[in-house]
Amino acid sequence: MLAGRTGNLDLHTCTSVVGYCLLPVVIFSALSLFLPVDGVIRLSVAAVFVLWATRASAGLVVSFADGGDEHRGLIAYASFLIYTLFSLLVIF
Amino acid sequence: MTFRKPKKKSLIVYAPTLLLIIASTQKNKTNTIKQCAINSPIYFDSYEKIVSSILGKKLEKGAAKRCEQRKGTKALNLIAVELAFTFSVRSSSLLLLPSSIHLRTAFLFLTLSLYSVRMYTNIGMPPGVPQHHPQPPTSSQPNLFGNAFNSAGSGLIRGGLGAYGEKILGSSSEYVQSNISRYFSDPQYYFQVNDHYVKNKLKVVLFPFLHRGHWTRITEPVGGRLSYKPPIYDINAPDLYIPLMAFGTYVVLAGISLGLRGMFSPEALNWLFIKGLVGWFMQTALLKVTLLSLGSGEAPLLDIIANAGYTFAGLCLAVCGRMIWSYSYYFLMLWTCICMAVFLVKTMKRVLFAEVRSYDSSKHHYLLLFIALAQFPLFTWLGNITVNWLI
Repeated sequence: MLAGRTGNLDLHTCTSVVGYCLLPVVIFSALSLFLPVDGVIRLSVAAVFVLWATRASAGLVVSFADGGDEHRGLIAYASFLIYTLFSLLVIF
Repeated sequence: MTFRKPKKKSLIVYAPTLLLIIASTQKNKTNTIKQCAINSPIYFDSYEKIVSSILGKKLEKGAAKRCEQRKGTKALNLIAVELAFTFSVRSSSLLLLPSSIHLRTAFLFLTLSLYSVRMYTNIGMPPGVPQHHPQPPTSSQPNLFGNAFNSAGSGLIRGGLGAYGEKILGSSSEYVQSNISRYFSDPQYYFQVNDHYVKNKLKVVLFPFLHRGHWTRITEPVGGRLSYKPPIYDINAPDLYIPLMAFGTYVVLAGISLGLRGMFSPEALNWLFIKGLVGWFMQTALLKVTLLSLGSGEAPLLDIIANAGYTFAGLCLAVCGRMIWSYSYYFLMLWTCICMAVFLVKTMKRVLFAEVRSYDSSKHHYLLLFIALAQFPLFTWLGNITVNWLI
């Protein structure tokens, strides 16, 4: 997220994008109420939702920032860390 | 000395007074103060003298007379209303007063508090007065004065803290900015990275033996002053992206590791976060002390923080290996310790030899060896992921 700050991307835009892309994690939280407590299924579903949120977040940030295409990988990894941290609270 | 009344009188200033008037009206029915005690001129003379001497001006016309004319319980309530009104009006203009008035106002507040206590205790037992009225309830009197001074005090405290806060923030902002610009060089410099740099930097950190080429940073003259190129153009320049991402990965992997062992909780994540910060701080302190002891304190603080942060890159690898196969943890830990030691030694050697042309090279080598050896306990402590952060 910080790597994309090359000019016009301010803190409010980053916070807004991260907040919007938490929606897949929220859906995963609701869905996990009905999933069995088996570890493999929950981990697989969590991986799907986290990757979904990461792709959405990286796409939004790249579209907002000027010249953000070369930082797409770096932005995606930062988003991946954030959503993985939130999904940890759901899985365990 | 005259007080300047504020042009705008906000409703907040009068709210305590209005609340107090309502409370006084309610209490008016239950108060049974002896009338002859209120009629005594001693209390009203003292009240007028104290207020006029401290505030530096006379009370408004007829204030004391109005107190004397009213008899019974209303006079006592009127005194409280007068005090609350005085403090409410004065407190709104505290921002414009010099600091000496704050002391005088505080002294006035304290004096009137003591005076109210004395007046309350003396009312109960005037000498030589016949006992025609029953004893007043003891719970209503302290509440009345407590309400008066609490409402006045809240306005006083609010105004005073506002004045002091503005004074502190206004005078020290320039000092803080100068300190920030001195300690932290441009943070934007450390985030000018791209995918290519990150991959190559990770290779250098995790496999320092395979790094062919030099370890010195590329410099360029900018505006007559020599400065370094940003990380996007120089593989040897430190950055803050990899340390921050590695630190986040360390926390996430530690959480996953705890979860797989059934010990996950948000508190454990907090403790692991603190443990990581403490480790990062110890690494930074180690490098800083080494540079200072060698007489070379020229390196910016963010450079040291960035170089210390690369510790977590190896740690993530070791923690990941531990989750896959527990015995590979020891081999990976040993490997990452050696790699980090070599990386730091080479980096610090370049920093030292670039800035200090000292002939005492044995001291340098001993301190660099100390840096290398200090990596092993630090990695062992950070790699031991448990719920308790101390071990």
